Amino acid sequence: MKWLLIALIVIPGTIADVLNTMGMKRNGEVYDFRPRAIFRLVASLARNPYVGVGVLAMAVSFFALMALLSITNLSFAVPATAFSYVLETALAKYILKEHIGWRRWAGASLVGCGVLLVSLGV
Amino acid sequence: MLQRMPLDRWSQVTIYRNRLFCSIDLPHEGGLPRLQIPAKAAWQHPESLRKWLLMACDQADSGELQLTHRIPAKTLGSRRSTATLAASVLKKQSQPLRLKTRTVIALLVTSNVLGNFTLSRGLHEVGRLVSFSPWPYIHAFVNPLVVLGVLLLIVWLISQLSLLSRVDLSYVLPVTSVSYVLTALMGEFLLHEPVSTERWIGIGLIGLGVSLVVRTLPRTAPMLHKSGDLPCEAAR
Repeated sequence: MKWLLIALIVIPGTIADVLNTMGMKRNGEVYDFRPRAIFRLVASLARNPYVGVGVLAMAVSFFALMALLSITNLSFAVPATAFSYVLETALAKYILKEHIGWRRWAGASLVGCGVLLVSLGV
Repeated sequence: MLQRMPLDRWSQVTIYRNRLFCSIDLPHEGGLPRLQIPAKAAWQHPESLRKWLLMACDQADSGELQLTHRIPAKTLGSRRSTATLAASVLKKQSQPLRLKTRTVIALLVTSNVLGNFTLSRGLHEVGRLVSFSPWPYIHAFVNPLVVLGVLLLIVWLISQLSLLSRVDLSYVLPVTSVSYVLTALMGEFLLHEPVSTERWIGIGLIGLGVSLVVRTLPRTAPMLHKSGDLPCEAAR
């Protein structure tokens, strides 16, 4: 059960980030933050299939995290999310074609370890 | 680095510049098209850049500007109708509220931390929410802390999505992990929950990782904009 929930946190969470990035890159860069422009943005995102599925996957991941936290404690739940930093960096390289140099790799790994320590050392 | 350059008496372009490239926003209907040109060329020939931009504005109808990323340095455009075009654009459109990438990151981190904090506080006040009846959930939404938390998380979602529209995912993820640091520090200074040695080391590692990632170019992914393949670059 625990491992199923971990999978339900990490996999949809990763898919959500990748799909949201793909959808937003297709939607064009967002520069205007006036209320009306934000409404227009939300309206156009509602018709964007990538972002739609992405937000849905985000919700699945969020509720799985809530469920996991209700049966275990934080020190079991968070290590998996820390690993997703490196996983998503790899996906960004191969799926989103981002250029990832040593600074990005090292940064993602350090942040992953840092998140692990911050959440474990309560 | 940001510089405003007058196009003519009515309008100006905004130029963002880093070491390699500068991005230029042109005043134009229905949003801001952005183009990227090598910084050296732009700075060595400001006059021809200005003239070229005027010509580009001249040729554009109300639709999209067709711009290539190379400046034909010798191109000398006429500036007749640009004035009227720019004036009409300015009359119709108020200035957009532009937020720098770093401002969006700050907004994202703050709304994430405060949203999680108020939501968990609020839900704690409400009590357990394990029910098939909708009433406990509706009841939860009467709690002002829950409402505030949900609003903050909406701000978080919108800023996350707009950040992803501009810069790489592999840049956003490490940089926004500052929220873990902020949560820990908030625990220490506001809630007087002492931060353990492991957590301080973790905070140091996150800080180190973020400082490495912010030294990379924020956007390296190919542009997939509707208007074709203008090479674009996020503002710093």
